[in-house]
Amino acid sequence: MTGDGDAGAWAAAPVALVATRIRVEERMLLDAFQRRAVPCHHVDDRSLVYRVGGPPPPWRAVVNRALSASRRLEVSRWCEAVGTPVLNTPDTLARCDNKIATALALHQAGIPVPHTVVALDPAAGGDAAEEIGFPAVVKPTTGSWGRGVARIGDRDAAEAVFELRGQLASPTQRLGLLQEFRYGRDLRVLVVGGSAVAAITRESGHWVRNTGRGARARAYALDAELASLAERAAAAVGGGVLGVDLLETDTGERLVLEVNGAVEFHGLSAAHTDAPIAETIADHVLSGAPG
Amino acid sequence: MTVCPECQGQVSLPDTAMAAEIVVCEDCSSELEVVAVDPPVLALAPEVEEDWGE
Ligand SMILES: [Zn+2]
Repeated sequence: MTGDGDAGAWAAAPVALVATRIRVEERMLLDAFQRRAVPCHHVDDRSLVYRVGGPPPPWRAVVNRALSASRRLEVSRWCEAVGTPVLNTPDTLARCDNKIATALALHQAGIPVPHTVVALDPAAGGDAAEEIGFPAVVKPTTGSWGRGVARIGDRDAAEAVFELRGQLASPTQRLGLLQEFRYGRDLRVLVVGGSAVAAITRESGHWVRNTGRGARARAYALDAELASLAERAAAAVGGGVLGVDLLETDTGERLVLEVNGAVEFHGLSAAHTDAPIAETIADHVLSGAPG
Repeated sequence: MTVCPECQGQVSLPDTAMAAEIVVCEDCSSELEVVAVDPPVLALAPEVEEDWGE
């Protein structure tokens, strides 16, 4: 679409915001494009039908905010196949939406991660937990908002959690990811196009701290070391617009826990009223350089 | 103004509201999806699906 030399027509084409719901983030992005006088159309991902080998969509770029990880990946795969710039790319989404893939990519890039063990079958969950030690955290390999995460204190608890997971229908949900449980401060850094933009810390009475579960977000000063670590983590999964979740331990060690490829940023925006987060993302999309 | 399907409270939609937008009822805090804008129709936003979100 950008290769035909018709740069004027491309610049006039609308941006597509592919989204299942217009939440706070999507509204902020629509407004940011409007302020730039760039038409931005909401497209419901559930309405998309495309032919393999068919023409590219009439959009200069796609901001992919589909809620379902499966649909999100297909939207980005399609866009990439037809040459339409898309955020995030399918490679990035594939690494972010599978926490095993995330941990492997981060470790491969030399980024500190908690000790992590994978059990491919629930029957191996007890052994995997012994390998990690206690307390440990059992996570689903997909999903978010802290759903399905369990903290276990001994082998019996591990086997109970894995027995329940063994009854789940989805083969993906039967995969087990275990990590050492570390006390510390939860940080999230938003990275846009390779640059760390802002950070928050999340506090909650519950050990699963997630603003989607009612944890309070407070602004956190982005020091050079934190920015660099988040930027390296973002690059390790393929780059784009990403939420890097870190744990700062009591001893000051910083570990990267996850990288979110379809990042919610309302908590970050509320904590950083002076930081134009949607504007930064819109500018990155319009720079024509996804990733 | 339109009516919250959960609590029957009055919900005022912004002029810019669009289909698929999520609004929150100020009375009962339910998340509501704008199903249509003209005339406005609200429905309870569905629970999460298995592979939703971040
Ligand atoms: Zn209500």
